[in-house]
Amino acid sequence: MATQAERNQGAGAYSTPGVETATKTQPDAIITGSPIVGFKVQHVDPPAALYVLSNYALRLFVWSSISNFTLTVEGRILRSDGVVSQFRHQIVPTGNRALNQFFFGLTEGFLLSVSVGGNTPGLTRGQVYCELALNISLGTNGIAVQELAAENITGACSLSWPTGRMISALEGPGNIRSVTGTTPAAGAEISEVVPTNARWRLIAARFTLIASAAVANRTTHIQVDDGVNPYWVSTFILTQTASSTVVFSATQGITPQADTGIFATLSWPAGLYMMPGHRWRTNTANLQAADQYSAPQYLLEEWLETT
Amino acid sequence: MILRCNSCGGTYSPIQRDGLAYYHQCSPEIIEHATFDAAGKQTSPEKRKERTDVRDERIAPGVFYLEGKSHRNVLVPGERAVFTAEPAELKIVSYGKGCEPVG
Repeated sequence: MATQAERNQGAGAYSTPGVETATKTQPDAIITGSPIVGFKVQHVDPPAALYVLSNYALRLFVWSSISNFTLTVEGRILRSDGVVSQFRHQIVPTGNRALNQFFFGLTEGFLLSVSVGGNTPGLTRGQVYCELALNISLGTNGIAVQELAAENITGACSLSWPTGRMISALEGPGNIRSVTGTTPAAGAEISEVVPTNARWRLIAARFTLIASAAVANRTTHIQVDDGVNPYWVSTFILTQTASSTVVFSATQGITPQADTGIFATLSWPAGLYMMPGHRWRTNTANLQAADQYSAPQYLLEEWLETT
Repeated sequence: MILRCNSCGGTYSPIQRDGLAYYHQCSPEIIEHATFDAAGKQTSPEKRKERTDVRDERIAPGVFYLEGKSHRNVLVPGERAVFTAEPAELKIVSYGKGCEPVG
């Protein structure tokens, strides 16, 4: 049997239906105690574990596929005289995916923090990768004594030490790109190559073959090779006759299909990763001198190969 | 800007819409096309031969930049695995017959 207090507390069968009762909480218990650890108020020990000498340097490796952007390197160092000194450098790496090496001299003290970031709008993951290390002496003849951080830089994500992480350029999502390839000369094949220091995962491609009036039955193959040797070939299941146009679409893991010679699909293996120098090409049986392939439009995911 | 490759006749934009560079490489074969009569009977076979003047605009591997200037690691004389960075010109893999702007 409900009590009078239960019947009047707000909701439910004992009170007004549909009316919620207010949440009731008990007051927090206040727990206090005397500290066990004492802290210095003078001659405080440095908070960082990384003691560096004046002949040490920060070594920054940068790989980038985008040009004309500035990276800012900023940090703090607790000098031997007790002053926290800040430093700031701005660098412009090349956009050809080659390794860019930069060295920044340090002063004696405790390195407190370093960050490397780019403020370029639209800088996406997979376009810039940085690796930061501590070097003894400036230049390439120095010795890297500690790797500090490595990260894919974006407009919103900087490389940071000590709070950052150490990842490979190949970890996680890459840069999704839509590329317009070369329009071949008449009577020539499509051929697209993976640039130096890039790794591609080919997602989709689309191109057109306009057949000339020359009588012949053309058969388009799409093939992927390592720069010399093909390791995958997919074939158009019909033939293309004179004065016709076929639009080809290719993607991974599908069964090649075609309608009455207007639209066709080709395929390549799921998860097709291509290394620098690998190519995807057409190889066309009975291609005629005035036949014309369009420029291929293809979608890919790209990572920087930091070799 | 559109470039035409003087080796293969292909046309391409050296900068893509995402701002990244495009590296043209010629199709590796020169095709001597097959011919057919009006009835579709082949009168001469297709022949393919390797293109010897390939233009390959990929940067040549091994070059790196030191404080903004291109270098290449060179083996120190008398050493098996000790390298020193020497200034080196950045090159593409092969120039072929060059290229020219067409639009």
